[in-house]
Amino acid sequence: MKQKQSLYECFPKALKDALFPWFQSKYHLQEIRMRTNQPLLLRCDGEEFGIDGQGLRVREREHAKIITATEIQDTLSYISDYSLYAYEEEMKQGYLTTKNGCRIGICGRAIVEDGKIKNIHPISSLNIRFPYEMKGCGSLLLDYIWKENTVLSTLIVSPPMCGKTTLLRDLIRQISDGGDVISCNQKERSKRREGKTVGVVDERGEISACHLGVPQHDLGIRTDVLDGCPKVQGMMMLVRTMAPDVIAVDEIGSNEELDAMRYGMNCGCSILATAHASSLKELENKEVFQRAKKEQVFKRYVVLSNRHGAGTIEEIYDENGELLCSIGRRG
Amino acid sequence: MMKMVSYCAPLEGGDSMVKAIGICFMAISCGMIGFYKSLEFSERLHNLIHLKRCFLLVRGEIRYQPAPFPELFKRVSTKMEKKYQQIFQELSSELQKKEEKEFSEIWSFVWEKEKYCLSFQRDDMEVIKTFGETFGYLDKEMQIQNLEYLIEQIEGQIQDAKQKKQSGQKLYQTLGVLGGFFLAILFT
Repeated sequence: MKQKQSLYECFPKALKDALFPWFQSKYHLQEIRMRTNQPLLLRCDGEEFGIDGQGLRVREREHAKIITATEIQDTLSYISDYSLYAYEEEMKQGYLTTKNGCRIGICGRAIVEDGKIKNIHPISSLNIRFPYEMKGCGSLLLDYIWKENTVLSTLIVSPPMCGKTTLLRDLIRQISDGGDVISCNQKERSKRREGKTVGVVDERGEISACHLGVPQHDLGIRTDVLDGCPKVQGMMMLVRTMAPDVIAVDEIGSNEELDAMRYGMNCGCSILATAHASSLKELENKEVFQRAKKEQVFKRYVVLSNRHGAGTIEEIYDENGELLCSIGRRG
Repeated sequence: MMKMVSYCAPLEGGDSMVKAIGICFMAISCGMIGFYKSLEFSERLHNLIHLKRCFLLVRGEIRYQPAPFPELFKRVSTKMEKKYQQIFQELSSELQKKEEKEFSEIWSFVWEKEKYCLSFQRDDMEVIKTFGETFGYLDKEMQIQNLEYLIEQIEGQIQDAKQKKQSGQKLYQTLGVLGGFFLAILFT
């Protein structure tokens, strides 16, 4: 709520008027989309719609609040505390993370120099996404990836907007903090899960939403975050300097990243990672994951969907790709 | 009548004494006004030198640890002279208010408010305010270039202040002392 309120303060007056009702706590505001000369669109509880200048839902484009270039510019200016220059590195990758942990995707004219994106200017579209911490959403899964006081290396697979980063974040927090084992077995349940040191390489700031190096999300008491660091170098650095029990990374997909993970595993670390795909079969179409399966890098594959809302755990597979169980519900 | 003369006679001596003290006091005051005015030149030079130091700190922070201005100003303010510490802290809090103002408006507002304690001349203020119009615009490289240009301009103002101090300080001091003597002679 506090996070939403501080973001609300960053909008120009006309937008504040339109957005006011939607920033009330009863609405589960997930996303605000602003595009120059296009209607202001919101996503609430999984549904997308336009609103007018007073914040009322509208069906027709002509009744909707139309976003101007100045409103986008002013919003960005207030969000960045007049310091867009400080977000230059993030903006090169098409986003910026605010101090309240909000992630803002940006689009516009890319300024390219020597084949590399130098900046985006002017910015014509904003996608403001509200991160939600769902504490406890990883409890169910944790039972399947925790074995003999170690975490099994796990790859969370899902299409976009299915909650894989939220799930990863909660797993990190629970593994780091430790706690009671949640199990059907009464004997198991009485055991206490020991907290582990977790190293997070957060290249795009999605897991921790770091602002000035400080995570804005609760990642647990034994978690070290390498913010904005490329995954390959980050994993090597963590292994050499922070002695983590578990290394967590988001959205892997290259052979170099797989090599770095193998290096970490050979040093006694477990890996928690995520990847984009809607099924294990689709994942195996990518060469890098065929290799990962062949080399048995991951001991568990978890497939998510949004069938019963984001974060629905569909299936869990073992290192050979054999189905361990179908769950079909949220954690 | 005789009684009165004899009564007033010692008073005449006292009167001239009071007059002499008054004249001395006036002469010293004039001299002091001259010295006080001349101190403004030193004060301006001192403040300009420290202003340059402040912006060197800001440039260093932007180069090695780029952060949004409110955090950056707060961080560097701890390493500044008290006057500037106050200005940069105020800038930091004003920028966080998000009152739909332009950066240049906030920048000018804060410096304008604090200008009286800095003994700056109009052109010194102009240099600072003009800088506020482009600061924050575009990327890190642009901020550093802007700051380098500002530092160069402040250096120019420092040279100007040095020259004015040399000539102006002597002028005001001499004028003060001479004015004092002139008045002393006039009233004697």
